[in-house]
Amino acid sequence: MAGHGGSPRVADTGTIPVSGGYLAHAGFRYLWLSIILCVAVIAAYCWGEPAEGANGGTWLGYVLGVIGVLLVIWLALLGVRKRSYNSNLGSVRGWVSAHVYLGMALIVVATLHSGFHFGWNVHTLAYVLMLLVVASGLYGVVAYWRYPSLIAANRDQSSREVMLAELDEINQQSLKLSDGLDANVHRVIVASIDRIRIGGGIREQLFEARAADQRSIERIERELSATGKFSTQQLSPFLQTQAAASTVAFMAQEVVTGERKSGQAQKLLDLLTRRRDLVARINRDIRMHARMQVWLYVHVPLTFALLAALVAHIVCVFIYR
Amino acid sequence: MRILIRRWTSQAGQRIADDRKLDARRLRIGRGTDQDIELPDLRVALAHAEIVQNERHAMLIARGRAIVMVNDEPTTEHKLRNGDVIDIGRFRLVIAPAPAGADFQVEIEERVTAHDEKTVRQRRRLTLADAGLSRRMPSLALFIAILFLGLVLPAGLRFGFSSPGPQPATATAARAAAGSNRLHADRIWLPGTFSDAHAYFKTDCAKCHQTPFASVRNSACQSCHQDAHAHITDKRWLAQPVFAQARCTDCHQEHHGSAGLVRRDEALCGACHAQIQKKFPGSHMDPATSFSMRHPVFTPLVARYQPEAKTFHWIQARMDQPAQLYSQTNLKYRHDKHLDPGGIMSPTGRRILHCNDCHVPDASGTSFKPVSMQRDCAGCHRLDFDPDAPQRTVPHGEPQQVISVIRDFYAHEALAGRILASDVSTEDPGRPHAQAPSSSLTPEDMQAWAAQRASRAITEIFTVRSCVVCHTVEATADAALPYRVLPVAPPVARYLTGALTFNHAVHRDEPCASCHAATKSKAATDVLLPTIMRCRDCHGDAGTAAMVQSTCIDCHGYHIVGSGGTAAERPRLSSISKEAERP
Repeated sequence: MAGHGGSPRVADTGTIPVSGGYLAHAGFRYLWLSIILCVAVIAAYCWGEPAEGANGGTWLGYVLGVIGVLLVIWLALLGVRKRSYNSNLGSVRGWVSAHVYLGMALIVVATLHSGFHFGWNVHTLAYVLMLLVVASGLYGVVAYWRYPSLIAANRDQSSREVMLAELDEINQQSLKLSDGLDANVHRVIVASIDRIRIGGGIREQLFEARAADQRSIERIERELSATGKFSTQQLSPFLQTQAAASTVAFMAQEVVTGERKSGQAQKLLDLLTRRRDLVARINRDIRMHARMQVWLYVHVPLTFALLAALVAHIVCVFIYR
Repeated sequence: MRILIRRWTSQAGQRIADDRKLDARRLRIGRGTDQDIELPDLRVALAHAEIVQNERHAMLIARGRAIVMVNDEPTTEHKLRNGDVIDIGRFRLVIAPAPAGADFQVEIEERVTAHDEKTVRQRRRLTLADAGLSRRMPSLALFIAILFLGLVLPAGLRFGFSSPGPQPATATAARAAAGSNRLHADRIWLPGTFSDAHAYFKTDCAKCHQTPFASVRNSACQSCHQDAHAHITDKRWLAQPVFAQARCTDCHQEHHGSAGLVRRDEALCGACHAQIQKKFPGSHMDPATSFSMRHPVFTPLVARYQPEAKTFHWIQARMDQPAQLYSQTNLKYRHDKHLDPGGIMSPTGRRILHCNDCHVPDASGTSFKPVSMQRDCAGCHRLDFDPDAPQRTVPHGEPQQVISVIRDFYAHEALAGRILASDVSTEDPGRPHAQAPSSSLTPEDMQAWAAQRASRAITEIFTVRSCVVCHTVEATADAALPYRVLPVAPPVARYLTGALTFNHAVHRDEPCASCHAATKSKAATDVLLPTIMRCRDCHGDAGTAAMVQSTCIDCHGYHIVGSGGTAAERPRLSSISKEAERP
């Protein structure tokens, strides 16, 4: 994947640069702008109080609607702005800062535009989509605030590409080492390599291995250490699920029983321990990246849904004036 | 066992077969160099598996504790058949049909090359995009789906595929027409709650929204509401934009529930009425902005009697001008006497009267039936004229009739011979001779007696006992009709004009006297209407705390000119100055 791991940057967050506090951009300029906007529209709403009841059809309703639609269009244009690297319409950091604060102000503007009238119609659909887009964006703000440092700490000066290369290296080394030990060990190592899980589907990326798997691993490890015996039957349920962790237990067992050439076995055990940690780190890296970016897969499509609903809302309101 | 081993390799994009024949009891498969089929992959055991020929068939047996994948199933022993696929490491072994001169054939091929395998490893799904998540496709799909379902489909069904056709004339026809288009996709455009009144055609948007991108026209409303009346009569003013360009929807907004159907705000009325003289120079109205702060004084209708024409002229008297605040109804009536808490003398003794003994609510409850002599007064005010015949009464009507009844009565008495001796007196020309028996009286005597008795009774009933108690009686020079009763102003259901809709029924828990000072009224000319200050004791503007919140339309209507059902209740100045009817 382009942009992943290869660069020494702390956190690869797609195309939005988050280095530095974009939230505090220009002395919270856009936070203040949003607060002023919110206060102004709330004041106008309270002061206006049309006799026929607040709704989108009053003069204030139209004003709020126009402000709202301009905000939505401008907010959506961030996707264009961040792709046009030669733009001189202000820094992307400033855009992101304004995007976040004005996006939150949009909730106030749109809610007052609605006059708190909701129903099963295209108008409320647009409103709900707007809320979902902003909510997913807020998740993004939190994610971009929280995950980069966690990812950096997890990578520990390394990068994902380096870690993956290291994993391949370890696998090759462990196969070679196990080959020198005996067929049984070799077979277990082969099986464990086949079953290393790196990344995977959406669920695997977003969530840790299920607790049930963890429990079964622990049970097998306990069993192994207690009986000192090893058999395919005992290992097979474990082999079906997760290999890396228990392979360590297996090798530990091999070392403890002392029937092996202990130097090589110890080396292999060390390798497997390293591998277990490495796999966990890589998966944690993938998981945190996935969690940091999953909102975009909601935010962007819902933005387009919102734009469509907004078009329908505006056009139908004018069709049936 | 003769075996053909065919090893496929790929060189410069071409598959090349390398055949090798072997005759052995066992076919050994593994990574070791001593194996019959050598598989150079670190994941493969040195001696991984064997193929052994039994009496009948070949068996694949895993060695040690290795597991072999045969046809994608892990196994340690397998009876081989043609077409079996054995996966070991990155190699694939396929049992092919045995060629001539061999017991069976094994084809070996690398599933993936060592180089490819590394690439595959790099092709792990490390990002959400790798896992199949996309932004572009869902964005496009959602955009198109929502635009189609939310706009294109409803608009197409409404305007594209079916013509709205002529407007159904009746509500039933409209319902039937709406029923024919069952999808009503444009209902998802419905912005709010329908009013109850229009709910029956709420799926038929076209009923009101007849032309796209055009505001709802007045004609759409008037297709049902033909009787919506104008606000004023003056045609010059009606030509002004405020009326000529007024739209029903300025005041009546649908989709805000039933409550939103009529605008109630004072600002709407105040737009003109706050500066009514400026907007409509020459208007007789005072400016009005709010009920509590600036509202014209009440100007009840009062009667002015025109003696020459014998008609009533009705004027609007101002409540703040006591000099004009009287009504010449030509009736004599003292509310204070009739409402005396100690009672008023009646033929049956003292009787305590209450307001509602005479003022009976009408069917609507909002106002009262006209007071009727027959119903409300005659119980006490009896119209008898002869003490000897107290049950004989005159009708309450034209003086001509009254006089006729009295004259006829005495003529009949004379003819019937009921002239009493005591009645005949020479001293008294009005009475027949005392001593003369009735039979001996000449017709002239009897006629004279009857005429005298009648004349006396007529004078008494008109000027002393009955008529004059309530009416103004004038003597005439005409012997046939010696008295005349001045006409009484006809009852008016509403003394306040201006499309006022005061409802007595909703105020029924309030005693009459709390607004109407009837117990202190000594004359029938008194106007007993309370001032607006009395209303303000309870009613305040919209938004007032601890008051009944009242806006203009709580008392006033807008569509008031010639409004059918209430025309009788709302006499207009032009129609009132007509010949006063007899009571």
